[in-house]
Amino acid sequence: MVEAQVKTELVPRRRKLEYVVEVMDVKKYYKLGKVIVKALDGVSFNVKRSEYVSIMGPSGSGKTTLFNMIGGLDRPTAGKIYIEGVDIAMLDAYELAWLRANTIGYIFQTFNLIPVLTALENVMLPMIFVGKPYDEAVEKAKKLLELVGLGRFIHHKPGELSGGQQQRVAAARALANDPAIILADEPTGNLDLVTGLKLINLLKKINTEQKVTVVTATHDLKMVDVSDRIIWIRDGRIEKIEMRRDIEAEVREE
Amino acid sequence: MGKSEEKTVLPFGEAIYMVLHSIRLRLGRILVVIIAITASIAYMVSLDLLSRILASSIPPNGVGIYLFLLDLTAFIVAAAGTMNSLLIMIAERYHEIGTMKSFGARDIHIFELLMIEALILTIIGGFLGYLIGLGIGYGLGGSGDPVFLLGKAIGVAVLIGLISASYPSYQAARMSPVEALRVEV
Repeated sequence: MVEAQVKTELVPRRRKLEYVVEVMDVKKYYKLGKVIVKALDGVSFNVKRSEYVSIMGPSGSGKTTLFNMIGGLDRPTAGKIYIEGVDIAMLDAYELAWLRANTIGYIFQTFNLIPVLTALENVMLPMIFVGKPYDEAVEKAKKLLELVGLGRFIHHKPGELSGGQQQRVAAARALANDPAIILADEPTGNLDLVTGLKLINLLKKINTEQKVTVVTATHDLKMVDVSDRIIWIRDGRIEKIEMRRDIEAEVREE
Repeated sequence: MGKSEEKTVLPFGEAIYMVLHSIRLRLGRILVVIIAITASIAYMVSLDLLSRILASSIPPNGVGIYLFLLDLTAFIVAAAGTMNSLLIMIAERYHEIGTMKSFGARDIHIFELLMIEALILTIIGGFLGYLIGLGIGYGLGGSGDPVFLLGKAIGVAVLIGLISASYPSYQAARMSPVEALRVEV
């Protein structure tokens, strides 16, 4: 009896979750010689399911560090991060790889497609890692590439695609295993104004149609228009959190 | 934990496909790895074929040691050259490695991919080196058992591949995704 009780407590929390991401007093310190750099100094916030949240701040504010930690790509010095109710610091290498493959879809500033693989194969990669049968993976990848408007480019290699197209392949890849969250780090950073705007609209479309939670780290102000909430980071701390409806109200008042 | 089935995988066929693809499309960049092996194996094979001629001018009891030292030189030069070019080849792919890891690849998958690639390259180099060494050796009037030499050439090439690829592959495989993605080459 006692043993059974202990066991249920050890199982990661799997209650019906309101929050997909919970960040609790997260700190990240780096030692640079004798100086301790506080990249993040006590950051807390939650992200609701199907919410579109942008983390904004100047470069060096700690937003990429925060982003990496939400994605399980880096570990905090102190504090906790829960993804789908699971404390990611408690995961071993196997579970972390499984989380990265299934729960999170990443989009990077530099696209990071595998150059020797075609668009289709790039989108298939995360599905191969979770052991999805080959034919199913092909079908799913084709559908996703159509969703991002690249149905005609499935056999193109990244080098044969424009930056905007590559980032759309990356968006399709991020969706491969139906993740709960898409994490996009400066997704428009290497795109011009028009293609950047197209990508932002694509992310919003994915967010509303597929009910995927989107978290972006960015300093692209175009992102404000589609975000439900904007978390402003400065010097490793949250400066303010704005709801979009408040911003819109402000604009109307002016 | 009851979580053992929740494990990311890389089927062997898929790994081979990715490696062959990578070799085919990056042949220019990785030719240097093949050349390092080819030259050393050619050197070794031709010396073996010419051993009787070389031995005629050396005191009989020193022949074995002399040939061993020549082989050793070929081995060390090949291993050093191959490791160096593999280090560069793998460093150029840190971004790719970081990307794969952020989509579920585990350390062992990265290690496997890099080792398979290195072994294929060294076997190709070993075979080419064998052919060239045979040509030089016979051309200069040497003699020997070509079948034995083929085995030796491939065996030494594989050994060099294993030794020189394991360190850079291991180092790359255990990088965290962030580290791998942050590296600027």
